[in-house]
Amino acid sequence: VATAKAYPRKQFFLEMFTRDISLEDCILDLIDNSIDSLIRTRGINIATEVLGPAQTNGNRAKPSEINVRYSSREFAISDHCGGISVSDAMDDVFCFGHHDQPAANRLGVYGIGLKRAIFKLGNKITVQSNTESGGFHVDIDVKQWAEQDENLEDWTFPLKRTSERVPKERAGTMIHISELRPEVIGRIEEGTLDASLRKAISQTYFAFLGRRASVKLNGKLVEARPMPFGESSLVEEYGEDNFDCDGVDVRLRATLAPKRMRTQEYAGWYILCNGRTVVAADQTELTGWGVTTQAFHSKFLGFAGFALFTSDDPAKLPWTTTKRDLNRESLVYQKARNRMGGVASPVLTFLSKMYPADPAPSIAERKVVESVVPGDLRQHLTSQGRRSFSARTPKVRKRTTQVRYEAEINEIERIRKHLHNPDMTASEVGRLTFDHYLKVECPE
Amino acid sequence: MSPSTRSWQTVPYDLRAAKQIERRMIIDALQGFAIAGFDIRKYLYLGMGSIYFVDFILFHKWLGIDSMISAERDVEIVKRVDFNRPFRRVQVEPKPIGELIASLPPEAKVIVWFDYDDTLRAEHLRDLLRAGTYLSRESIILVTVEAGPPRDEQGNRVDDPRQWKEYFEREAGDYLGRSSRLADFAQSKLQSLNLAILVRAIKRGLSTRQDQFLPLFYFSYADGREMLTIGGMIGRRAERTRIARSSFLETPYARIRFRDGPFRITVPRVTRKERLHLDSAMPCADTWLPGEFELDSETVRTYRDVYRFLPAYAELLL
Repeated sequence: VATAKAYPRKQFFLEMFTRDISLEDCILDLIDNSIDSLIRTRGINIATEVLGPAQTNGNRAKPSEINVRYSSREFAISDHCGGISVSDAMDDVFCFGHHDQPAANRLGVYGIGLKRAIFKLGNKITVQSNTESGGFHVDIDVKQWAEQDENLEDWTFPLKRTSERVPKERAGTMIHISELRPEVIGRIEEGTLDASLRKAISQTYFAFLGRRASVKLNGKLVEARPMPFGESSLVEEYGEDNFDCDGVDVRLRATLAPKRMRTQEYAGWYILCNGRTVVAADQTELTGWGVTTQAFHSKFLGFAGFALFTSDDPAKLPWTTTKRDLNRESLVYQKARNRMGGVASPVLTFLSKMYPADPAPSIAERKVVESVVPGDLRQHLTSQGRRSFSARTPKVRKRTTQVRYEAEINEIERIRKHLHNPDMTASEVGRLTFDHYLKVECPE
Repeated sequence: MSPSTRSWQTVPYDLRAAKQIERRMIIDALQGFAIAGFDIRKYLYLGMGSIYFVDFILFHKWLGIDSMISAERDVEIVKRVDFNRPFRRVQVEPKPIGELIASLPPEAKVIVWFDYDDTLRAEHLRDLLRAGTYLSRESIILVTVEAGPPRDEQGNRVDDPRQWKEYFEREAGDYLGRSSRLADFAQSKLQSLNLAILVRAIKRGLSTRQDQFLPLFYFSYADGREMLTIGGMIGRRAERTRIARSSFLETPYARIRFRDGPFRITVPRVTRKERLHLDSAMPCADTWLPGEFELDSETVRTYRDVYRFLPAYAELLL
């Protein structure tokens, strides 16, 4: 029996694989690696230390710093997040894909992010890491590396061990990339990358920033983007649902957004996998709009929903390889999407009441919405069970009602003629005649 | 609110004979399930009682169910609905029924009756999806919709299959499955089309669970409008076996496969005097005919299927 070759080809990884992901997402993949290192080496529990309520006993760990710098000549990311051990570097970190045994990582799932990112960025790559037990140094010239592609022995990088041992708080990794690809230089010189990257980082890692990690972009600290989780004394219950599915803990929350966040930019569902934001302000069928609830509409700008998936095995989480989308075939995603509709529905019904078909003002719901102020999502993540959103609508006495009736067009015309005002609308004629009757027949 | 969602203003709920037969048949089946080991008395009934609460009265008196919630979305009649509550245990919730589904206790076994009086709409399908998502194993889902051609905004009948197709494409979306040709929306197909859409919505809710939707009921009738009711239990092989071993399958209305077609509820046109005579011969043999007056064999067989459930109306001067 002959065999057919099924070899990997370097060109595929260098040219094709890198097309499926944006420059911003590549850089986020590198930040993921740093945060993963932090989680691994510090033994961080995401559920309590990242997504749990703030600790008030003063024992808060100082956030570890991740520095991202770039210019049109070079790109570098460095951290003090614990570093990569030599054995991990030799056997796992540079492989395309992980072994099938469960990884100790929480954000790195597929074992492709680092390679895809560095190949996307440039040609000359240096990866250097120092830990308490030594370190290593890898230099890659991508063009040279790509020339040899005959057998699996060509799929290695030269690794130099270094004997320097550093204390835990200084242990970390540095990746430096030069000879950037022309399209990357183009994006950098165009001038919009900084803002979009800053927004992406602040949103993607909002749960980590200021807690266990901090990120500096070209020397400037990135602030966590506030989430539109609103609180009010008039909100009696927040929409809540919690369940486990195949080793994934799922927490769903739905409420009203605070005033300044009732915008197209903030409204919708936020999906977090192990604390990392995967989807933000989603208003599409992906999060159930038009399927498990009504289609998104401007009257729902005050809606804020959060779905948090947490698992010790990140491969069980419903994210895709770019971590910017959800795997629609994932069972846990499908189950969550169905239940997100149940959590969202009372909030949407509430918001709909603000815009009744009867145009007479229905301000009770508006009073509640106006009372909503920014809140802390984390304070609402520890509760168990299911709750339906409900709010206490203040009693508002209805002072007006609608008057509607059919009238003969020629009779309206007679009134217009009588008033010498042919441009009056039928509605204005109605109002005028009503006011006239009120004045002459029901004087006060 | 569209005219069709306020049928309580135009339809005397307690006097719809076919509907009443349907209710009694469902109760008959549930009594059988109770004997087969389903603790029906402990079930929670979630329905849409309007101001008449006919189903609530029957379910309480005949099945012993006393945990009951009536969803009432018409906020303008909430006080009136509350005033008409037949029993203390009936709780009126001024919310859409689909919204209540997610807030029921997760462990509760529920009988829910989505008793819509209009044609199938996207909102109904979301309710069904939610029922499939949240309701516990052994819960029973009943759905009633108008199965005739869709109506326009004013509630008038539209006689154009193209518009019916557009209507279903808009309201049912993905749930239409393979129905895409105009012929799939012919009037004679609307009943099976409605059935398929309703079942798909429930199954979508169940898709992430190990439970299935086990068919039990498939009724069609016309008390003025052409209506369709389907029902089934959320369950697995164990529930299927218990149902199969109960006396339910011996009833003429049982439908454990939807492909067997609907049980058509027809109200026989017979006088009170004729009825007393027919009753004395029930259940009759297939070929039996009354000798005292003319009645065709089809009417007699129809009568035999429904006589136990047929309401008798009389004027009562209070």
